[in-house]
Amino acid sequence: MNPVLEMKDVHFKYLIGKEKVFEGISFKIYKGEFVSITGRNGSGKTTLCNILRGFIPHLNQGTLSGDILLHGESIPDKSLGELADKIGYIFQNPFIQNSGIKETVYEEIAFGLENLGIPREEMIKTVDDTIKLLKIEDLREKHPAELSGGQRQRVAIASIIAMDPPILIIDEPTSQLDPKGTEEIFEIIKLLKEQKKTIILVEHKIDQVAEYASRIIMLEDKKILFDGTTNEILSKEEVMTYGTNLPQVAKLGIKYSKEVKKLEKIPTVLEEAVKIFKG
Amino acid sequence: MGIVIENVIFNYPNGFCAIDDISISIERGEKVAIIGQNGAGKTTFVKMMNNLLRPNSGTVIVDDINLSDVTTAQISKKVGYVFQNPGDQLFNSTVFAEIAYNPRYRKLPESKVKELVEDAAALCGLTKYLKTNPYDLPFGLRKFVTIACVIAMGSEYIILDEPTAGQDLDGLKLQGDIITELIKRNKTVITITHDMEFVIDNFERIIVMADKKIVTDSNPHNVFWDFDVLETASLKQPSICKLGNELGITDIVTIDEFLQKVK
Amino acid sequence: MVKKRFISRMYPLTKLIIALTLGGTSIIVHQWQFGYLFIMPLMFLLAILDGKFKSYFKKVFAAIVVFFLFIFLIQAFLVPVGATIWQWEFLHLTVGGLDKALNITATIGVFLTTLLLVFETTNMSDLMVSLQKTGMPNGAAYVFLASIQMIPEMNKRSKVIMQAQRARGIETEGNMWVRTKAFFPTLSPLIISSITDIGDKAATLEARAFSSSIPNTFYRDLHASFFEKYITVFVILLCTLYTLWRYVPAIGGLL
Repeated sequence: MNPVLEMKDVHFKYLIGKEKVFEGISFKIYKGEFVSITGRNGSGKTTLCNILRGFIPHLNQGTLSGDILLHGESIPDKSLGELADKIGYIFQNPFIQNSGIKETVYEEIAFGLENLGIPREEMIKTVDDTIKLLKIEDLREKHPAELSGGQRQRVAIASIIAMDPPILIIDEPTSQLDPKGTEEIFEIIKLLKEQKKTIILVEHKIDQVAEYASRIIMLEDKKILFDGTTNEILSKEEVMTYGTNLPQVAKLGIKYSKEVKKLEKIPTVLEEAVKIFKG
Repeated sequence: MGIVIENVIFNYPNGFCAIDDISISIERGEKVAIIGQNGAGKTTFVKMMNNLLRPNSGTVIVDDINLSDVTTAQISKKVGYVFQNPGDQLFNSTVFAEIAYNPRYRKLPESKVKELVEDAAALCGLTKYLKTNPYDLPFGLRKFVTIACVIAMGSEYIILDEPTAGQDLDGLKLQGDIITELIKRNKTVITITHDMEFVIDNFERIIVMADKKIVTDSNPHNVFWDFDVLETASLKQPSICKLGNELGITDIVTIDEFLQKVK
Repeated sequence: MVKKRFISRMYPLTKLIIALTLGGTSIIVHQWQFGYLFIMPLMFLLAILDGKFKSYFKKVFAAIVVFFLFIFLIQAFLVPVGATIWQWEFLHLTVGGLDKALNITATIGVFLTTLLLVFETTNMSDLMVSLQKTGMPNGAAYVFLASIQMIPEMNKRSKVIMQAQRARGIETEGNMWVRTKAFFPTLSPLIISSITDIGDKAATLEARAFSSSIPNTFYRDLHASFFEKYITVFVILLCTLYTLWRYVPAIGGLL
């Protein structure tokens, strides 16, 4: 099987930065994978996402080398417009990611489809479906600028999902949200996972990462430090020395292994922990 | 001494009620976490503690000063407030100038200014960034610049509005350390946060807000094992509590407590 | 929702073209009667018929107070031509001055009342869609609409920043001097955040395929009706006839 996304020996330095952000990043991501990018703040998680979407080098310049490929074709060589319906991008800050020109949530969601030249009938159907899928019927006629952070984030996700990109890059979608808002966003992410989208997620809330991601790529010191299955990475105690938290159940498992009885497998999600400690 | 709030009601100019009759007192030297859903009124509530918002009725008294008699700038020496978004507060060209802004504004001698800045910067892990422009720092560190600013102001009461948002593990640990140090210095710390693990690790007193009111004001054990409270405030138990719940181990909120019970 | 009356329902571009045609005619014919006796009363009448008179009149009135009167007075008193009609101290109102003042203000008045009526009765997004359909670039439409929406957003933001500065001990309440001193600390975060927002906004727009080379489609379904297509032609025709009547001696022009 050919990878959907691939990086080969990527090096990058921002125009204004003194130091390189990346020194030789390589990985392959396959269709339907749910990869979480972790690492301490400043390790380049957002930069990595920006490179994958082509925002670097198109909008934000720097010295970039190595291959960045979408189905084997070079991403930096494609125009941003060309990539729009192939790689969806959801940003961290809910307050800046609306178009800023639309008067209702409905039209906001339609904006991307207008730009893609989707015929009106189809556009209406898609927007209706998206609104239903994301359960945001109550926001339909509201003004995008008058929504709360959580609502805005849901609308932003809806606007991208409506464009139906097979790949989604989601950069800390819940950092400004409360626990309930976070849960709502992850319910949507779960839906996307069920639709077999390829998902790349940056998120500090490690319990959610543990539950939904199938693979973790961890950045540290300009390189990839760990790349493996979620359970494999999130059961390593040393992960915490690199600025990434572990799920509470994993921390418990590690401590239990040391102080009480060695566990064969360190749990990373609640259900596993329940099974292990019940048994 | 302390903050005494009595029967405050706050309505926004458009008539929307944001705080509906809250009374509470916070002692000098306490550390308090405020949790609850977005829109519950947390930020509005703490903004009344430094006069950024003035209640429509009820009183706010800080160390015997009735806030209706002073301006925000005057009370800022006593009550410092770190906004959710650092971009709202930073405007100097270096981190040093930023932290020094208030001490200089108060016309303190430059030697004293330097001392205050260096202390605050050291506490917030910013020593090596003093000559950097705050906007060249990543979001997480910028937040620490705003915290350092408030520390250098010398306020007795320090309010942190969602300092944990977007922080990595190191950032969270550092914030915990800052809070501990401030308490050691006999400061009072009031923190709004959505990070329940952070709350449990750092606070003994938790105020839970929902729908313009205080639902409960208690310790972590009482809060995270009171399912009515959690339901009302749309909060979830941290996973260690959930695990305990599944296994019939109640009233634990930390990993260590859990281990104690299973041993 | 209030049912839209006919002016509000009209195709935006039709309204805009008619308004500009009338304004242009007013410049060419240079006759104050056209503006004062015909177009301006007509616009007020249309505003009343459209049920928009109150807010329309407010806007027109504000515009008059701001510069209309100003221009009239300057023209009338500072350009003495011909016989003096009225005199007070050093101010002379002359026939020529009055005529000039009337003509200039009439032209401005036509532009003002027609365009304000267009803006009063037109949703800006609709206007932009109708312009985009005729080939106006997306970018231009975006900048226009975004700047309209940006003003209340900036206003909100500057209030938050003002609060943040007060919390840092900066006195922003009080006399003029205190407020002026507080200005800089408020302004720079506003500017800096606006600049950083621009970068983020660009990325947001790209994420929504803004620069896609595929021709846009529009959710807003606007078409000029048969009547609307012809009323434009009709108005242009009338204006041309009027201009001819005014300037071609053979049919009584240039009196």
